[in-house]
Amino acid sequence: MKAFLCSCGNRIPLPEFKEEGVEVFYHDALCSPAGIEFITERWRDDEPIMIAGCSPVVGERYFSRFNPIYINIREQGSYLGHGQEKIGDLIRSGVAWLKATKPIEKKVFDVKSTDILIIGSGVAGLEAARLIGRKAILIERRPYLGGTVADLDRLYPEGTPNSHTLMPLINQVVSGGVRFKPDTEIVSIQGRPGDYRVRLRERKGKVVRCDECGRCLEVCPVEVVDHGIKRKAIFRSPSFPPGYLIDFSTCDLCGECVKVCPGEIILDRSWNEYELHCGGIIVATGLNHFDPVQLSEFGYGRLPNVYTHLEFERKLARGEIKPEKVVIVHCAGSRDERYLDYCSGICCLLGLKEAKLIKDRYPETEVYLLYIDIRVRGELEYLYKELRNLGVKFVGGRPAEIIPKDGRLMVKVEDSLSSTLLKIPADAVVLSTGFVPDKKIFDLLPINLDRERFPKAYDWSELSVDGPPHAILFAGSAREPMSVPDSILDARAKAYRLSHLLSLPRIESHHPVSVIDEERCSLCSLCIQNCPYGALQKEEKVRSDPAVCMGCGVCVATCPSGAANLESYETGGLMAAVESLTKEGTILAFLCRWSAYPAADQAYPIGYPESVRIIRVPCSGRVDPQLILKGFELGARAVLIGGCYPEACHYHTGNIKERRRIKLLHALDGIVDPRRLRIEWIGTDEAAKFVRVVEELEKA
Amino acid sequence: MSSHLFFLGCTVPVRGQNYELSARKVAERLGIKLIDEPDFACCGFPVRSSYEDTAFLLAARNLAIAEERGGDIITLCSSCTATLSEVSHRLRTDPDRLKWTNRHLKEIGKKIQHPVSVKHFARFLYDEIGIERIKEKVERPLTQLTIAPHYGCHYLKPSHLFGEDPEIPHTLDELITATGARVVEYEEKKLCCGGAILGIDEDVALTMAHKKLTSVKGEGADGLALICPFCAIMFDDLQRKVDSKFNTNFNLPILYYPQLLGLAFGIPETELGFKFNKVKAKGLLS
Repeated sequence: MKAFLCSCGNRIPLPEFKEEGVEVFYHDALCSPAGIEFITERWRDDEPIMIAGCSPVVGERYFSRFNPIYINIREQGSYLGHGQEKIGDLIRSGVAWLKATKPIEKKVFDVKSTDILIIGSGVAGLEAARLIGRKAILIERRPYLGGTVADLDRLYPEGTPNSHTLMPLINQVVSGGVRFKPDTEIVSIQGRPGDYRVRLRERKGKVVRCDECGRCLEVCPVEVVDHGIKRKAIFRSPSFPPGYLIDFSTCDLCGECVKVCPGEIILDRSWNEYELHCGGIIVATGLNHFDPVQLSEFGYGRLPNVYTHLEFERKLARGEIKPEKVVIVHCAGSRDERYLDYCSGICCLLGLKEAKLIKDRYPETEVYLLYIDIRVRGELEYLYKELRNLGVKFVGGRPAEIIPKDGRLMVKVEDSLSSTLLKIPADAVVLSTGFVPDKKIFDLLPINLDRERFPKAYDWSELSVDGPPHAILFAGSAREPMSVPDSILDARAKAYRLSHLLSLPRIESHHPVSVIDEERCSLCSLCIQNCPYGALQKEEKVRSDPAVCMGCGVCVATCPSGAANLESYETGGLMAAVESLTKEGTILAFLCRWSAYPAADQAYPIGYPESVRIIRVPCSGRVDPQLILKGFELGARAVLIGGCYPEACHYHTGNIKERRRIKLLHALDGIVDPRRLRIEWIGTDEAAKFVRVVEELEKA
Repeated sequence: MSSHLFFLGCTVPVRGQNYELSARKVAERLGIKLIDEPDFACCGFPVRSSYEDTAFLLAARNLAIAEERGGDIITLCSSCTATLSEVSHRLRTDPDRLKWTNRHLKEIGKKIQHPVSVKHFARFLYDEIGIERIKEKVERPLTQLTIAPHYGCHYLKPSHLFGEDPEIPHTLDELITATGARVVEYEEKKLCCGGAILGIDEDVALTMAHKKLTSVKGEGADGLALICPFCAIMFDDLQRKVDSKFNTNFNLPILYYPQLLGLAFGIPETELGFKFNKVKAKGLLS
């Protein structure tokens, strides 16, 4: 075991330090090329080391590849003018920690397949497939390519017809050697990055050879309404493959089309199941429209001529309706606690687009647009202004109800700017609804996702570079509602990211992750509920997935059996540090590495009491009660937990979970004095706040 | 014959005798035994906006009495219905609130174990008697009448307890249709009667009543049928006040639904409390 002590160019007076079983090395500038060489010569990857010197906030720039235990004797020692005793304590705590820890294991995922499965063939899936080319396997639930965009008249937000964007994209995908599988669904996905086994099922029935004569269309008895437009169960493809296609979800297998077809049709609703192997997955399943039937005051599904924006656009584009007066209702179900309590982000511009479609075709048509707030971003403001100039009437208000009146519809709405009740007669009402994630896919992916939301937490963990690299990526509106240009950019980024990752022979990562001791685990599953990433899963045993775990340590603090541990921040190591740092009168501070710890680093010009002893933790949520109680048992005057502000936690809610824990500890009458145990939110630059809090604790 | 505890509340016996009389008559014809319980007191609704807990305990006390007597509750007033139903539901689903309630009820020697169910008279007719059985009892179908329904607020809300979509109410429509009368749709069907704000701002309350009456009259209705004493105060008791404020002359008869049903059952109008109706309904009955 090796401890490296750095004097930082003689700015830190290093004590003479001896400890049995530990080789101690002294250096004046470990961060210099010579210093790094000095460590490299002595470092082995199966043995943890300690580096005492500057703050890890600085040291991590130089020493990350050694994954050391950092002991900060500069910002927490010499810079403060604190004496040799404290510096000695700090070094001793580091060595005690070192003895109780193991080196962080390198996570290696062999890349066994470089193929990439793309789920969904909307613009995002198509763009990803175009870039990945021959390595791409593109599957689509429907029998044709194009996703939601294939159903639209024009694209959002700039308004070009989809023939400008979608068709050229499809041409490149089809000619670029992408393996395209229409009418195909996922049965199951298993595996790890670089090595996924996917079971798929493909419809056996299909139009094998089509002369595009259209006779099938004449004889098909099944009429379906597809987003506002009537069609048969056999229908002309709006994109690719060309010719006529069968919608087996509505086809009644009567066989009339087969009788008249000069080509070949197989009528078979059953599936052909098979397995394929891939190294990574791009989820591009797009979005689902919120179903406005729930908004009974708006009468969708009950009153004629109340449409969703998609239905309205399709009917208008085909000339099926020519309304003289249209009311577009924004935020239908959105930003409403009863339905969707979030803003879907793109519907404002969709509503504006529909208004533009009407005005382009029928300039005389009167258009009302009812909104809560109009949210148009950047230069798209021009569209809003243009529509005002075209005479679209913007009313700030949400309709109270829509009722039938004299053969038309009547929309009752309060114009909140003038506080007057308007009754607007209309031939058509367009509900600009929000969007919900495609939850079906969430159940099939081998990762845990919040079922009610878009996969934000998962996606953000991929954006952080301190976690594991992900080989399942969300692109386009599957991630969050997105415009066509944003979907394309997103898909491009995800395609390149995954292609690069799978071009390596193996995917490696060296971040600390949680480990579950199967012997100790009682299968209580508390850790599973508390993990913000769904890294923990229970099959027969509870297991932590190193391809998902971000290393916050919340599970460790949650586990009542001591079965969960976090590499490099094991309970044993932290406990050893507490034991060697705490004396009668110590103020023990557990500080989150992301905010409170760097704040304390900057506090030396102000100064704070020498009794303060800081332990760095990955997240305030890692601090379990036994560490706190141990501190008090050893005579600590006070214990401080410093975390990020709410909503600013690097691991989403670790800080909030810790606050809950501290409240419970406060409730333990007579065991903990609430004045001496505090949790504080301390921002990265709030050195002064840190000082104020520890000074208050010094007096507590 | 099914028997139920009859919860009258404060307003009906004082300002809605026509409602009470007609409901008792109609119930008799339908074989519903309504048992009077002298121990019932205020439902709790009037103090709800100032003292939530007090209102809750007042309601709970009534529920405890009903449980002792071993019967469920039928109400006439929509506010009583909502208050008692909500409390009963909460006690059924929130064990902590039940414990809290029983701690207080203990002081007056009462206890709740299985909160009784509470139903509005009209909803009881619709759910338990059924439109078909009502139709069977109709002796004099009111085919010459066109009636506008007014649901009011607490008959429908909280809707998760009553199971009727407050945006598309239908039960009162169907109950009126059962009498043979024609139901008229009108624009302000879902508008509040204004009673809720009467004590604070009479102008607003009367303006709302005026709006509603205008809408009903505009569709050529012979009368407005309702099921809540507060709504009747707004439309019947205060109709002349509305008339003088807005310089109108509505002369629109306001009927409690059981009065309408009683007529269809062939019960003499003298027994249905028509003399208590402020806007005389004479023309209606000829």
